[in-house]
Amino acid sequence: MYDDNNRFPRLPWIILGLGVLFLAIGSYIGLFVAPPEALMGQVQRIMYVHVPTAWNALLALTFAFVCAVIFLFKSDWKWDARMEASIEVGVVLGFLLCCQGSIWAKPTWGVWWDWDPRLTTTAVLVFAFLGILALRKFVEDPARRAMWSAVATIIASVDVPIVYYSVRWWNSLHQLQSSPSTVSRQFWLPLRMNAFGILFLMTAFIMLRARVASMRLKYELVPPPALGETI
Amino acid sequence: MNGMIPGGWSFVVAAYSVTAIVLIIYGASVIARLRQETARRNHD
Repeated sequence: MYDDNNRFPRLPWIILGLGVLFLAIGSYIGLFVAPPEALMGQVQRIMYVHVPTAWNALLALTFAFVCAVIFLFKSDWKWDARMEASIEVGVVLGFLLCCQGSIWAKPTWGVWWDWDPRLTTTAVLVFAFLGILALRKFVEDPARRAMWSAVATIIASVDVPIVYYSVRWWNSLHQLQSSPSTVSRQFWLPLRMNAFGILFLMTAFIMLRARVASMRLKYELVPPPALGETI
Repeated sequence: MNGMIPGGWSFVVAAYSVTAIVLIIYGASVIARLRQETARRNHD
């Protein structure tokens, strides 16, 4: 019924180290080696952290959806712990994404924020999952908490593809997704290094945070000792 | 004038700084909570 998520205790730390290494090298290349972009100039260097953050935020929240579905089918507590972890990491990356986007928007669009489809759907996504974290905080019964938050996660996850396709479906200030055919070869390396760097960091954070949630669940699920045992 | 946005390094530094600060603070909070739960488990 219960898994402590601790079979490979060193694995998250190794992945965390790899993430820091990739992110440091990718950021160095992005800041000091890659050339400035033809129209955006130096400001385009924000892309090397903004785009990987966006990919991984959506990935973390998609993983939360997968965890929610598996929990509802299997009622295995380890999937509840993984769901809690991936929602929290997804919200942190989503918040970071909005901050980076805002900083990039000011010199390119002239405003810190605009209620454009991509930005609005991203803000809705972050607040929806933040609400699920709040729900988990306020419900004390682990079974109800897991069930309600799994259902809420599935509902909130509807916004993930909407965020991704918003720039195609509606007229948006935000540019379309880039692909290897639309990104210059000189920009690939830092972008991919940072994408893997944040992917490794996200994975390590989810593993460690799921371990915290598992340990807390173990404490909550163990029945309190009888009065005689405590004396 | 060549159509390129002039300057912009301050925005780049701000974006990378925010990224580093958020990731470091969140990572530290996860590690602190992990230590707290481990200590509670060992105590029990």
